[in-house]
Amino acid sequence: MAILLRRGNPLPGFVPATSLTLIYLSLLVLIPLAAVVLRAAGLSGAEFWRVITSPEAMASYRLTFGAAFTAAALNAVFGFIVAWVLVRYSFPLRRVLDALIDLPFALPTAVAGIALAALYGSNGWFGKSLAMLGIQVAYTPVGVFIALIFVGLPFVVRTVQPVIQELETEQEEAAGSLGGTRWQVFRRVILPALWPAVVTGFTLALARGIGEYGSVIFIAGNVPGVSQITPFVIFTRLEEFDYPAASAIAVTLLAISLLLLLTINGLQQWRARREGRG
Amino acid sequence: MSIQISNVSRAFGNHRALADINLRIEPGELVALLGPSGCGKTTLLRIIAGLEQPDQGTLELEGQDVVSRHVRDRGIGFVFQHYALFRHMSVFENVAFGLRVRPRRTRPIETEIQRRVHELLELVQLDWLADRYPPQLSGGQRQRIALARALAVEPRVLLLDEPFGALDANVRRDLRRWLVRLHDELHVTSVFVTHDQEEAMEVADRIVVMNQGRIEQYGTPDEVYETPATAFVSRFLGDVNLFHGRIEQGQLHTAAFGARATATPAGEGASVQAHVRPHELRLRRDAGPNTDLLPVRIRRIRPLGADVRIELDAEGETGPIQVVLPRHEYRQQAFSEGEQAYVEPTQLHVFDGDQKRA
Repeated sequence: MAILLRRGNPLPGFVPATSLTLIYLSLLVLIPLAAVVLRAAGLSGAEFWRVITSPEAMASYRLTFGAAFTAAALNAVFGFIVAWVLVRYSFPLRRVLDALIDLPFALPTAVAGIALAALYGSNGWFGKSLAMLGIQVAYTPVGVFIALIFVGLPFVVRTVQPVIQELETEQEEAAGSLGGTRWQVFRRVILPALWPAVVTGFTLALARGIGEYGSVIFIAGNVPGVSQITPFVIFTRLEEFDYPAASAIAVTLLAISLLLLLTINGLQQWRARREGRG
Repeated sequence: MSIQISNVSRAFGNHRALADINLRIEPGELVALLGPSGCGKTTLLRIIAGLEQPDQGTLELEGQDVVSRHVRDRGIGFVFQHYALFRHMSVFENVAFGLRVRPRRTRPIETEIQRRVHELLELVQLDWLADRYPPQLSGGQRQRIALARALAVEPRVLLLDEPFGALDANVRRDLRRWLVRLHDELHVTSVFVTHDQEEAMEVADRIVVMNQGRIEQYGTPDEVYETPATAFVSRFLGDVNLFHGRIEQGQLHTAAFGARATATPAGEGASVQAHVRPHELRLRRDAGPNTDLLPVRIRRIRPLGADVRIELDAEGETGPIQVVLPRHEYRQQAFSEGEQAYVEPTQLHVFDGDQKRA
């Protein structure tokens, strides 16, 4: 730091800014997380392992990560299309539609959950029709999936949209003039330029999906081993005053999430380096 | 390949970008579309490319109507002002793009692609940058790569939209000389857009001067400079001194120079404007026996490299009069600021007085 100051760093305030960042992050993020880990440390190794690998917990991991992953993937595709349409085409009510995208951000998740449960319940508009086709949404993993699609969409749209706005149409024109078909232009020029933003949007939607609680529990019905998400399992352990078990499962959730996010980030960086942008 | 443009019009909302354009470009020519911004030159280039559709009119490449043909099927190469290189691809892949997207039947094998790309990179003298990425290159290098990329598809027509517009003055000068040499080598029919008359004069075989969606004149650099068809062309191609006058008994009468014989299409009694370029005015110390010289006072002397620019004040004239002398002549005469002198036009270009001002 002293060296930086002596050199006359053109950006002043390195010391206060860094200190503030570290203190802020510690208070808000690191210390609470450490508390969770400490709580879980009250268990012996064997107990810990038994709690986090109980059939109920295992089923909830599969559901939580499976649904969050597929919902984020679906959102990546459709969010991309929505963002593209919003940027590239003008049509009536475009601004209104654009504003509506943010609704899942702003809406209390419980409200969304109740709305979804009402729609997809056996007497709801969609639920009735789907039931006639033999598809049950409420109280099944499908319900969880639908709720996560709802909350995840804005993450993809809002990360991809500004990048599409920045995209020069000249690059597409150049690719076309060189003989590229529409598909080739999309595949070789547009997609690579937008890919990092899509992956970021996917990651955010995934992270939100893993932690989502309010909008899921109403439609999921929380049948043990079938439609119970991990956050709900943690919640039931807390209700039973089994804090160490709740913490143990929370730590597991945290560890898997962290691993996932690090892997995705790592892949992104590897890709960027391979393409000389690192 | 020849380009034939007939009765092409294009409007954007209420704005008429192109009004009834007719133009023929011969095979192998290097033609400049020259005009101020908003004159429609870029729209015309984009219509030739197929990036824009005309509202009316036809466009033929080598005698074939191509208006309804997609840009990828026209056999053109397009170079953009801001290069439009693919940022996520290496220089090599940028140039190879046009070969890789070909249908399997006509796509060259990998070794052939390698050979062709390196050949093109050598042509633009940048083979050593093959593995770099566009953000790592300078503006001049990027534009040469963009050119190599456009040439990779062996276009029958090369179209360049303000190709040097985003570059520094020095790089610009080097690059346009290089483009002329390249064109001499390849002889591909080329059209480029520019708003810089000096650039058009230096590079083009023929110049299309455009204004407000119309073609004002089409000719060699010499023709458009020596015999401008309209007052607009005359003004756009360089500085002029403007004198208002009238045609009487077939002679030009101006307040500055009295009566002079002149060739003019304007009729008897018409009010006209006479343009005199700074180098077409002779500056002398004494009037001699002549009575129709304009007495002036030297206001400012500015040496500009090979030439010297002199600003003169004259009674009865609104703005200062500009004269350019070769430096050696200026030295011989040794004019100084504040001195009295006389000017005489060696040549006058006369246009209808009611023509729109540029």
